[in-house]
Amino acid sequence: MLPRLLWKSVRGRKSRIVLASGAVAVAATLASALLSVALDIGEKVAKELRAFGANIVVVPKQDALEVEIGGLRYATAAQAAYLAESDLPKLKTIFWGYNIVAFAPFLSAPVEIGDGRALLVGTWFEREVPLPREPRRFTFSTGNVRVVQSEEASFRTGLKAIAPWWSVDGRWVEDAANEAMVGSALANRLGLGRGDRVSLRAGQTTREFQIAGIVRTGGPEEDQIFVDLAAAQAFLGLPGKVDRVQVSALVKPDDALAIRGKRSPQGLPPEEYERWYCSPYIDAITYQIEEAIPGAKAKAVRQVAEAEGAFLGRLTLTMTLVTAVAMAAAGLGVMATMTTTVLERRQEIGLMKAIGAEPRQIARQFLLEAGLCGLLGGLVGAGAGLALARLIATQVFQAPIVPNLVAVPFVMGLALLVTLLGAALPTRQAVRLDPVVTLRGR
Amino acid sequence: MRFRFFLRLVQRSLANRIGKWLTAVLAVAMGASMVSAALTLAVGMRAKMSQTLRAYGANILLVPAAGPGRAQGTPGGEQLFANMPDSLLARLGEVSRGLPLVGYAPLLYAMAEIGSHRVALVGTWPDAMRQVNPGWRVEGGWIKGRDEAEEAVLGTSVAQKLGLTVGAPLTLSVQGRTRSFRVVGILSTGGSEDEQVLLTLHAAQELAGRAGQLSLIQVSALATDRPTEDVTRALEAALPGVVARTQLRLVMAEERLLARLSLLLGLMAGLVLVASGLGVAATMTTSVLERTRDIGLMKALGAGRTRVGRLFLAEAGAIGLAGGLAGAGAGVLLAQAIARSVFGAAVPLTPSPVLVSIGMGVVIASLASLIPVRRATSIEPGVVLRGE
Repeated sequence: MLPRLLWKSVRGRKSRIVLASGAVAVAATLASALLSVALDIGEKVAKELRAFGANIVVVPKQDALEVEIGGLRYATAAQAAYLAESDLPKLKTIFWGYNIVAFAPFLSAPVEIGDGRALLVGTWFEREVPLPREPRRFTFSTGNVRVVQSEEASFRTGLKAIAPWWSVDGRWVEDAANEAMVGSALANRLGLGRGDRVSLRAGQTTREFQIAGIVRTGGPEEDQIFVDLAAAQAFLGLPGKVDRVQVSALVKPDDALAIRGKRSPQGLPPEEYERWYCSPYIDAITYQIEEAIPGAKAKAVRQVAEAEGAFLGRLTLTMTLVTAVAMAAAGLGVMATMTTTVLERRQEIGLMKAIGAEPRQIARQFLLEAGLCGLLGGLVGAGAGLALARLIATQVFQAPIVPNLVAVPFVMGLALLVTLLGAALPTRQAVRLDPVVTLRGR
Repeated sequence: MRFRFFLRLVQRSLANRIGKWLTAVLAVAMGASMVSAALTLAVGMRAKMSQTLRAYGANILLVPAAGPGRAQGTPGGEQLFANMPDSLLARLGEVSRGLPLVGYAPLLYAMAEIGSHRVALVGTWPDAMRQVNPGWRVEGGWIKGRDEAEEAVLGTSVAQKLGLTVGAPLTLSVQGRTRSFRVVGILSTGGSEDEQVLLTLHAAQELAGRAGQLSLIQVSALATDRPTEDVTRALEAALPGVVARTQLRLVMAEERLLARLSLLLGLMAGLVLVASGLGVAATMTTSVLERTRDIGLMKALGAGRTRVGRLFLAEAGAIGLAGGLAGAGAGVLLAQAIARSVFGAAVPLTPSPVLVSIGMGVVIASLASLIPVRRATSIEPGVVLRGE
């Protein structure tokens, strides 16, 4: 009896059911799209923020004081310590290796150029680093073992990846052995241009390089000379050595655990230590880098980390609030629509009661109808919202959003709840009234 | 006369069905408030986010036009940077009033000795330095004022290697001039500052024997209304003998990020606009459909199609206007509440979101009622009156 009644009612009022379901679907689309964007935006923007440069610097551990200004080391070779270039691929083998999006090694020393001096910097401009494919096992004192495996066989990195803001007049170094790039301020001072040959002297050795491009960054790089790392190592007599590595890592903003972990990782209880170690906090990553590379000290670039944390925190909070408000408004809107649909049928309710229908029967039929609208609209809306979120993400970040499957049941449940609630209140009221009153009209 | 009758008709219709009209007004208001909140945020967020991004530090450097001296990069070279006079600061102070600057800090670099160790020394305005670099982490305190002659802040690496802690005495010497200081704080930035000793500008000038001189000035400029390159050019034009360098690292990343954010918020506001518009349309359509019989009755009593249409249009317009006004106001308040809880400051009020949301209310409510009214008036009154 009930299904037939429902079927008849739905068929007879097709356009209104479609209208109500449509209203639910539109609201659900909005909710699902905003929710999907809000849930994924942190990760997307964190990637964007990596354009602000390295957030971790790895240097050799050493006791001697360094004289350093604006990223330049004024240290003599005798007192300097170095890292081994062959250790660098280990950066991608730490627990959070996947989150290391780029790194570039540097070896720098002052050289004589013309009648003055300048800093020569050797680096990887662009390099394919092979990655170990075997799974890495991390055993914790809680007894848990976590296994991490890299999916790719190699990793493309270097200066181009870590410093995308460099503006090069000419081209980047291609012939690693013979070409160099020169900072614009230095080039101006020495009257150098593209294609010129420049002779450098360090100690007793002299080498000539051809200038491939002039570098403009607005920073201290404008006073430096850049060559391939191997060429610098050979020239300076420091084979296989680097003196600093810049690392760009995706990190999670610090929270209470991160702050406790930073103070002393070993002091944490075993479960917390594992949780800390397995969260991409910047200090957990520097800790893991120091574990992986012998004789290294990994420093978080505070300014970048803090600015990133503040920005991400504010962005996600804004998105969450906007989403919550939009969902509340959409929910109220759907409730209003459902209320109108039921109010409109008060005469019908009166008639049903007059011919002997029980209030419970009437309520059941109305609620089932409302539930049908809610489910239908919710399903269509949740799906459409995901598609819309994908479209937005592709438009804004040139990368599709990871469909968050929590959003679909959540939005559908919400749609159902709101439609039922919106229908229940006026139905209750109408059922209580004397049929004569409702039948007579308003 | 006829117009007054018309007004009375609208008024009576609204008064008799007050409950239903209130629901409709509420639905329009809900949509309009979402639109006005989303648009207000989309317009105001850019400035706020730009301000947040200034935590990355100085995005413009002012250096002497002569460039860092030839001795640049010299191990043990005394003259690390060419000098510029600190009288520039007064001029910069005047110029900065017309520019969107967060702050600026002068720096003087020198090489000093602590016992047998060589260390880089930086003199600056301590308060301005913090303003330009809010992301730095400091243990202990900061130098209290620009005139503190005896307070010093150590880079964390210097402190570690020399075994100095907050409160420790410190003796610095430059070419035989020796001064004693007290360590008030330990600074950790992950950058060069970790290897440096920070003093007040005046103390550093005196210790280095370079009174009235500067190495460079760090400037932090907001990229809200005018591009940073513009500010750079304005600074260069106003300060003789100075080259202004835009830090491409920050400026380019910031521009890209803010552009994406604006696009995201714009798309979201658009989405909200469409969804709210459809919601308003659905409510209005339902409320007109419900009155199909009224329309039939009116026609049976001799009302023409245009008159019926006009009546309903006027009602819808009134609903749209009332809902739009209420919603626009509520939306602006909502946006302010969100901005306050996220940024601790209100977003500036702009008229366009308010106008757009009111316009949306009126236009969509009218359009949405027009379509079902036209359908209803084109049907024979007899058919309509008999029921669906």
